[in-house]
Amino acid sequence: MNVAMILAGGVGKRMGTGEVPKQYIDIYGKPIIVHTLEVFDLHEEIDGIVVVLSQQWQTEMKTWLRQYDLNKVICLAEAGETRQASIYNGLCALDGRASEDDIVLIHDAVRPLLSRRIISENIEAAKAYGAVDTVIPSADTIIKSTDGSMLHSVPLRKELYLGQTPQSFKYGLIKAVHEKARADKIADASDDCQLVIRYGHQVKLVQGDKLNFKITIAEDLLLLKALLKLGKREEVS
Amino acid sequence: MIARNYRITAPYQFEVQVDLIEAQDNEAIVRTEAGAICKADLRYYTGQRERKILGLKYPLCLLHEAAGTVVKDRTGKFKPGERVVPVPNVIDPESCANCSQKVCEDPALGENYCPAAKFASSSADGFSREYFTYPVDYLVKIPHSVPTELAVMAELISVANAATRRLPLSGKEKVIVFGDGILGFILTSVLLFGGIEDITIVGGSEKRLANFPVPVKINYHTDPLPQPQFDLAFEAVGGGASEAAFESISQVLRPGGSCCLLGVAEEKIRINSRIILEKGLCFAGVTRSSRNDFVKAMNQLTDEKFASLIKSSIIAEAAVGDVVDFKNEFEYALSHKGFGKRVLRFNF
Repeated sequence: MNVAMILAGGVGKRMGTGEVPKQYIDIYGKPIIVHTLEVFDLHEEIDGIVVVLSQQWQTEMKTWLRQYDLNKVICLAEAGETRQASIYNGLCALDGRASEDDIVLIHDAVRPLLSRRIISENIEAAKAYGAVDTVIPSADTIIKSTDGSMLHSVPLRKELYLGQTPQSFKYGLIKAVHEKARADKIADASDDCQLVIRYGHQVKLVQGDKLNFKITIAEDLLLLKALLKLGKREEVS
Repeated sequence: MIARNYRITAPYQFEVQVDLIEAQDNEAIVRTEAGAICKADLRYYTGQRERKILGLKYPLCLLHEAAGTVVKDRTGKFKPGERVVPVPNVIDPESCANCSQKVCEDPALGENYCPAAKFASSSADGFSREYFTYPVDYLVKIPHSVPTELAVMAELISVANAATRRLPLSGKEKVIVFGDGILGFILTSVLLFGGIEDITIVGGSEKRLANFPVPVKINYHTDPLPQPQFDLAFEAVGGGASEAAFESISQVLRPGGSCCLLGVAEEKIRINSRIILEKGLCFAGVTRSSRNDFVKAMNQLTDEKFASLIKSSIIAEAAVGDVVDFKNEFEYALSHKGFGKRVLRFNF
């Protein structure tokens, strides 16, 4: 079984959208998270979806699942205080449903432009390697500064990649890693692959793409809307 | 959902764009699996249309030869996972109410001559898209025995079927086909499996002619034209060579003979009207095809011998993972002068 876990616990403080977290902002008639869910819902290799979100949005989510005919969502899990806690809750929600070798694809709700290819390649690589990260090569030079004021070093660009999601794992592996992290009092890991490496497991890279960007700030939302507007055209005869 | 596509925005220039995919009540959502490049696509690619026409067409998703998989169909006609071929010629049922021409009721013409029809990759987006929505009435199920790459060829087969509608055949006619390209080959195959035994093919390349499954092959560069003895001719030449083909066809047809024209000449060509008058010839045109031509094509492809013949015209399958791959396939199609065509396998 291949299960997508959609992380929707963020509050969107950097969007300037008031009370509405970014994943629930309406884009041409649908919340962003619905666009994201549809990508997984229509993918032939995805068997189920877990949505991790705060309690206060669960009623709306249930409404959207019916309204937009999203049939693969098997459960809703409550978001935690941190990303790590949210993912752990999502994994626990799969207890009894997923087996050790099932694949879990963990994806940000605010990356609605995920392609079918990336999902397929994540699943294939996760089955072979157990852990997968989606990345794109860094087009820009990355500067390291330890104080935010002065340049400390310039790492070799060809060795640098930008991390995206999904990050995909065998269920048994990622669950065990989270259990260990909790036992080791690690509570705020912002990246699951980081945790997996910490506990001695290799992570395979899958090529992402630039369109699979994360809607984090207001400019990202503008970019998404502009991209969709570009695709709209009047019919000609 | 939001899905990607490759759109041509100017000659030789494709862009990755994204579309909102929303199925209407009569539509299914289809994932594009495979496609093929046609000469009409190449004309849009190279900009070989009138400038003002191009200005109205661009930006446009190309490809009208395609096969896909249904991922959602609320009408209930198709199940998720069923493979289909989209019929590129679509008529909006609302346009039928005020129609006075009713060409769709004439079996020789059919819905491909409906003035209200929209054609994918010309007056509507084609299938170079990750997902597309489509009226379920214009999706034709691919039988289990027909591989997806072969189903892509259904569009060309359907055009050949439309040609045989245009000039009905009894099976006893003496037929000559002009054009040793992919359309000429498919047309010859359709005629052969339709029971026409006496077929002569005329072309300009020994290598291409060698692939045709008929005994009489004429290379117009080296061989003399046959005597005027043919009942029917099919022209599948198109382009700049249309004029010479038209003249040759007029010569080899017997008095009262008929010809079906399938090749597109973008430039105007001269026609020897005297010979048409003197011999009482009939010329009919055919372009595109109707839904029933696709249904017939699918049935034809379930015949092992026919399928094997059509498969011989697929020279390779090419993986298309990004817009660069897509553009490269257009460059390949432009430069390819040999027999057959490539089927593109999409992985958006």
